[in-house]
Amino acid sequence: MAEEKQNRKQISVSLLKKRWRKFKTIKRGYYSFLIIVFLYLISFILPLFIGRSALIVKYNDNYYSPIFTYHAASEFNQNIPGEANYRLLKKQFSEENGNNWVLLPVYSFGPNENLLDETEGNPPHPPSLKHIMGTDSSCRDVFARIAYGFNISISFALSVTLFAFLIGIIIGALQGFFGGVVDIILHRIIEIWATLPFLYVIIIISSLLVPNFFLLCLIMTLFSWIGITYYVRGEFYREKAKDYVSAAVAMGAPTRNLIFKHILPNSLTPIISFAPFAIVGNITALVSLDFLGFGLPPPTPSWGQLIEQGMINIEYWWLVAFPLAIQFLTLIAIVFIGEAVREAFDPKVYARLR
Amino acid sequence: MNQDNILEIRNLSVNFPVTGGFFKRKIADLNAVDGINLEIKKGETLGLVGESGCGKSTIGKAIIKLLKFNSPDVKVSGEILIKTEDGEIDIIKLKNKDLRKYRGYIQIVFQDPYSSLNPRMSVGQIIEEPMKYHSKISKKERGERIAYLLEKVGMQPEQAKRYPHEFSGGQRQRVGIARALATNPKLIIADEPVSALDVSIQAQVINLLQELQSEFDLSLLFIAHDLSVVEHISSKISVMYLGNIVESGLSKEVYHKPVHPYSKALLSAVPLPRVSLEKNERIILKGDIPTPLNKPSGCGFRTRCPIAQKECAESIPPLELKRENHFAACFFSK
Repeated sequence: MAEEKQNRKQISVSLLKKRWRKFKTIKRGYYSFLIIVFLYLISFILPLFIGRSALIVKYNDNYYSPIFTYHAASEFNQNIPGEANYRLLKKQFSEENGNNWVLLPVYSFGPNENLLDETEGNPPHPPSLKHIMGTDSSCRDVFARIAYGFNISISFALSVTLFAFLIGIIIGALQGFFGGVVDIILHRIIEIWATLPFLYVIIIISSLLVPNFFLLCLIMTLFSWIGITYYVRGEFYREKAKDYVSAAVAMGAPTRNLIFKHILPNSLTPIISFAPFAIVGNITALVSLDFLGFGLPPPTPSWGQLIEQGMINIEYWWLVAFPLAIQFLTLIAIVFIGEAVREAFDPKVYARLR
Repeated sequence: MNQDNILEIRNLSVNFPVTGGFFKRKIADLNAVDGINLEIKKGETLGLVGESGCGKSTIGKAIIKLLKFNSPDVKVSGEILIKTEDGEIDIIKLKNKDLRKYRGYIQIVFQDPYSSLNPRMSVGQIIEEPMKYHSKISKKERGERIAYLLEKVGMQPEQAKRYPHEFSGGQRQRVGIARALATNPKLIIADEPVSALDVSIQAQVINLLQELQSEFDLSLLFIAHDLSVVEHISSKISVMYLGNIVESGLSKEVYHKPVHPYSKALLSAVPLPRVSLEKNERIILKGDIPTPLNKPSGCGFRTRCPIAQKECAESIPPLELKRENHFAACFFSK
């Protein structure tokens, strides 16, 4: 029965569908993929779940939605400077027992919010029901910082991987397709570029300007496209000698079709299987830059900065354990995805990983 | 150019420069094709035979202008004339856009059906692609033509949605033939189209080629090393040795009454499916084919020829008429 189903399924499937099916056979990779994608999508609407701003405030028969607009504390008759504190507001409204109410996110602490006024004792505070992962030495909620750091880490890694691969594929494709002088010249340029010490350049740039997310992306991209060109170049050399490319030449296909329609789709295997590991590498790179203090400026909730805090306050276990554990779980999930991708592109049916 | 001819090759030479040393000096010339002349008439099949490395595939690639793509350093000289609606055109002189325009007149069927189809494209897309470049017909008409061509090569139109890896070698070769037919070519170069297939499939594919040839009024350049296959499909046969044509004539003439000693040896090696007491006379050639980097003087075949004499080393024998419609390049053979 199961075999019959398998046979029926095998009728007319594109290579991509076949690979997707094989990808799903590695369960841990498939579920890791679903979890990471789900969490990453959620992280874009994270203020709905974790954050200091209330979702909806009803005050004197008016409705406000503070997660979209700024409201000063005085608007709600709160006696504090700056933005309204919605947790206190909620407490205040429930004590008043009037018609006013506040709808807070599930976890109502922001990543950069100083909670010194609302907590007892000196920070850092150990994990409690209120702060499930405790607070750090500046009395900020660790869980909120980790949660916001997830989006930054993954976004950074994805964009660096994407742009680096784009540059790498284009340059590798030019080298492989045209060969000869083009290949030699580009390859010498790449070799010169590859000898630039990445860390020194970053340190110099960070000492001149304050790096932001896009500048860091740009710098990382400039240093991580090189490896991809080797793979793409090699694949292009191999694929362009095959008869289907000759057939396309013989039918008069223009060069851009030869490169993008015929050779490139058949050269993507090493690149795609490499991508999850490149993402892991880029997450780690951002973490190490932040750890060293050359990354995103404080108070950005980055993972490296959290680990640095743990390093300084090593006697407070929650500052060490939670950031490291979350980072470990994320990286291992992506490595599982990488394994499943590798399996999907493996022409052999029986694999050791299953 | 003769009226009936669809293709005429005049004095075609192909040289692959061999470079070496630190500065990539040219140290030798690999002379793959050495000034050959060929002509193919409309609706005719020319079989080109010879052992490996004699330059027969190089001729095919030169005609379809794949040599420059596969090895940019190659030197091609001579003339390859094809007849088109715009008159005679020398393919060697064509470049880029002009060349692309006339690509549709000649198409090629490759030897290896596994690497000649793009694994990322469905059969329908593979057959559709040349139509996009060479005919201005709508998407719907293209779909109809794909179905028509698939039926012509003995497949079902529903199979257009499938991918190459779902087919056997024979079926893939049929798809390759359908792709070649898609531009309405005048000439198809079949570069050993059956040598990668099972014997039972070989016959099917060859019969298919023959049917299509009469139906579409195609000319065929059939490159192979299997003489019995070539004899079956060709109206004329040219035998190549070391970049030269050594014998050329009507298929039956060359197959049954070869003149050149090399053709004789080649034919005596054809296995016959006959059990008989009389033994066929086997001519066994000694030694290897000389390297085209350093050809022997005079006749290229003299180092292995059983009837070679002094004159053979001194001058190159011309391709001369030995019988009616039968040419051979040998001083002594009759």
